Amino acid sequence: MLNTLIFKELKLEFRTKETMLSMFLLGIILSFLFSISIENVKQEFVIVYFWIIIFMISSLGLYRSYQNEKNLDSFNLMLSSPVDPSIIFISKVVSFFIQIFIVQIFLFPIFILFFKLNLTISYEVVFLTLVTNWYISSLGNIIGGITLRSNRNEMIIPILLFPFSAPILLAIIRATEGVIGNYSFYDFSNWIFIIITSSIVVFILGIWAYYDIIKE
Amino acid sequence: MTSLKNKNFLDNSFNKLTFWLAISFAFINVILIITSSSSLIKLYGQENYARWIFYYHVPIAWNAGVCFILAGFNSFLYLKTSKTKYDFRALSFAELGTLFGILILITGSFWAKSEWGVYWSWEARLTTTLILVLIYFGYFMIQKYGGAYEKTSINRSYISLMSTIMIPIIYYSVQFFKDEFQSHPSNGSYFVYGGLQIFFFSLLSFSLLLIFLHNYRVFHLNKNKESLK
Amino acid sequence: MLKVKNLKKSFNFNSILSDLNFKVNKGEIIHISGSNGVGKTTLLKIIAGILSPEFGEVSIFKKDLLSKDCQEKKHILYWGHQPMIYPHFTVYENINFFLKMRNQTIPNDIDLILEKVNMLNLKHNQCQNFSQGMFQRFNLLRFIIADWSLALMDEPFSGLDIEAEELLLKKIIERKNQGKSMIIVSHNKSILHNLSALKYEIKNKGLVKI
Repeated sequence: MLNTLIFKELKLEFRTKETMLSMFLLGIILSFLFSISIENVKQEFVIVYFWIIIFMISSLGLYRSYQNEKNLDSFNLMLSSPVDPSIIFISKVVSFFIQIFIVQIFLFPIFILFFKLNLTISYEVVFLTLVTNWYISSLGNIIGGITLRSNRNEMIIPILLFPFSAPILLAIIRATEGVIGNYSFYDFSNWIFIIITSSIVVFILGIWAYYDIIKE
Repeated sequence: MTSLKNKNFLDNSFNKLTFWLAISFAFINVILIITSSSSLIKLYGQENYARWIFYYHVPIAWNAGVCFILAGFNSFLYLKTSKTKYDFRALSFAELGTLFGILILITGSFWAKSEWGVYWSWEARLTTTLILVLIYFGYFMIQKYGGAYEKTSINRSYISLMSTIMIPIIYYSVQFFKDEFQSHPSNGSYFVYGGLQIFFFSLLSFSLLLIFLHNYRVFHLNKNKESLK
Repeated sequence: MLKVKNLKKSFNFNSILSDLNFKVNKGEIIHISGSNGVGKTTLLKIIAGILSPEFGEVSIFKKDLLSKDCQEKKHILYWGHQPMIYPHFTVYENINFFLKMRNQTIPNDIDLILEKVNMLNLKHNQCQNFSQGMFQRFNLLRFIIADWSLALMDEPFSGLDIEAEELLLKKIIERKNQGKSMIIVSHNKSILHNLSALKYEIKNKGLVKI
């Protein structure tokens, strides 16, 4: 059942490319604005801009993703079926996680180009990126579910998403700096602990809460 | 259940007691702080006048912390029992927590100016309060635009619960973040400001004020349920 | 088969349904009528699991329908106002997804069934430009294909042409004879007159037999 749901999400998205394309385009526009307005950017600030852009495009992506479910009451089809709601949540988290990772893969070369970056991507940075994406996806789908039945979800999604994401934004920036700057592991292990703990807590909370959140 | 439409908040003796206690303690508190601050100015000089803000700042912070935690706790009870009274309590604590949170940010900025020379610093407690206030702005948006009361109450409860669970994570992430402005005066330095007794009296006064405001708000929520539509 | 007990639902503190009790036995057709906004759709959505009641029990074959473990929903088919389909999926993909959600597979005679509902030529067309009538035909397709014990049908006849209406009536009688039950909300009393439906009306927040 999980495979069916994930496949359906990804099939729909790859067919329309609405969500990923809008996230990617907004990402390019924001990268352009940041790079053109700031001269001689230090490498550590580029990480800050990158992650702020990722969080901002995620709010757009989540809005689009749940807007598609509101059309023609598609979401109620899953609610009225004999499907465990936690499976619905996990499928949405996995599919948005994949979408955001694909957007990052395409956005990062543009970022390197605009900011003239000179860095090598290590496995640790990829791992941290994936865990942070998981947090964004879990939290985002909880918030998307909360705003699903609201008629102002484009307004409420960023207002809820960004404050909850503030600690993770700090953590991923510091952890990435630590990895790229070859600091001692103990200097940034706190940040990694925060990212991993938050991702697990929010994911478990989503599994528990999703059924109550998504009903009308 | 008897209708509250024609009832006054002060008709109830417990409400009356909380009202008069809050008012009287607040009045005495103001007098005590003004008289003690004038002696502080004599002791420490005019430039340290803002330190008296501690008599307000810490009790307000205490109130905000209590409100945010009780909002989360009452939200959990509402989700478990589906009893409206818990949601009304959670909503009241959320509103009061946001109000006290904004007051911490304002009083904290005056204190930060006197302590560090700037109105704002990324100190862990202040920043945590700011993040929580921002989260609760989202909470109120859900209440306003989220649909029928029966739906928004559940959504708000989960937001409140999530923010309460995230408090330690938010606090520790901010605490590790900035190297400067790390020094938040420790408990021992309250003696510097003189009047530990005044401080505890202030704490009691603000707690009674919180109880009164909470009772008042819950009474009005029960009386005017239409305001939640 | 279906038992609804002490059901209560409010919107913004206005009670819509209060202490609603009724039963549906095998092979019964229940026709629910009532004025606009009285709670007919709300009742169907609660039974379908889309809405939560404030209070009450809903069980099918003595198993709770309102629990988080949603397995008992396999007995229910919900036919709502909205088509509940993905506009960028084709007819075939939508029906395939719908059946997979119910742990069923596409029947071998899918083309025959599509022909009956006059959708064979639309099998590989995306649903985004469908009219209301075509959405209703898709609902009819789900009604025919899916395996269910109780169908909750909210205005199933609206938007259907005469041919589709006759097909739906024929299928309703067929299913009734197979022991399936249906709860139909419709303002069209004349159509349901011939189905020996038990008539109920939502009145004063409860269900009253007419």
